Amino acid sequence: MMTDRTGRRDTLVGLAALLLLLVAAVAWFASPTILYPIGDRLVECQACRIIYFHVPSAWVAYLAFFVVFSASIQVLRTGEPRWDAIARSSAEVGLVFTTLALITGSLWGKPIWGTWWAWDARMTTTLILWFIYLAYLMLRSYVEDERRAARYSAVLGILGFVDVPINYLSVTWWRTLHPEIAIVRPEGPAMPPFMVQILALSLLAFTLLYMYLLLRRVGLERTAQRLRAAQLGVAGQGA
Amino acid sequence: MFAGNGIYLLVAFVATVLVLAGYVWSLSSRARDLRRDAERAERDRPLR
Repeated sequence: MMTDRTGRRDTLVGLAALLLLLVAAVAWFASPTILYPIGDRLVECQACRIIYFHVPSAWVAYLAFFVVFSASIQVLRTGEPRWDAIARSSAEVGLVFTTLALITGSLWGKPIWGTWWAWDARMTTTLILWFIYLAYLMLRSYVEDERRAARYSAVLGILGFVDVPINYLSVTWWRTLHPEIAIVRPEGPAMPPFMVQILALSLLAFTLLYMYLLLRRVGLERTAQRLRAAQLGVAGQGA
Repeated sequence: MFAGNGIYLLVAFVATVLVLAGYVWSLSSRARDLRRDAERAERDRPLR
């Protein structure tokens, strides 16, 4: 059962995430106009502010799938249901943020590149990532035996993570519409300081939001385990 | 701000808020249903 302490912790993380998101949202709209290079000139680009929530969505998706990867290793190593609950929950939250990255990326691409979608390396590998974790969740639903479902999906959670570094490095490995890595570079970020500051704030806000959603989703798994235990008539079971 | 290509910013922002709010609502709704089912199952469990 969700204890009062757990509930209070979740609420606190949720409130902190909401507060930080509100501050970040004010910064997104109040920030100076972004100048985007088209050919040899810089043009004012309002839609480029989408970067402030498109990049954090993709970052949180990477983080979520790293958690799936790590928890999946633990599932295979220990077989403990709590790791399975974390992996399953993080996969679902990661899928939501990957969806957001795809939607916001498409809405940014239209005014900048003149198309909603292009089969460039970054976009294609992001779509593959989305399908991998959709398959992960479908696998969970179709295999009835909980232990087998946990093992099968742990293998997929480990193998599927291979797409994350490919996705991140795709802009340097192939010619793509996406700009090259602009933030984490040895020579420093390739953008004005105000953009770096707002992006850092947004990253923090989205990471807190991920933590809140993960805690809520893991709580759901615990209740589901409690329900299964009660249905089996076995006293004293739970996560 | 929303003139020109700013409309894409507005649509992306609204879509982000809606997707996140929808997911939080779905979590709350599933939690409520599961808790109710778990309490009912525990209540109906025969005493040993």
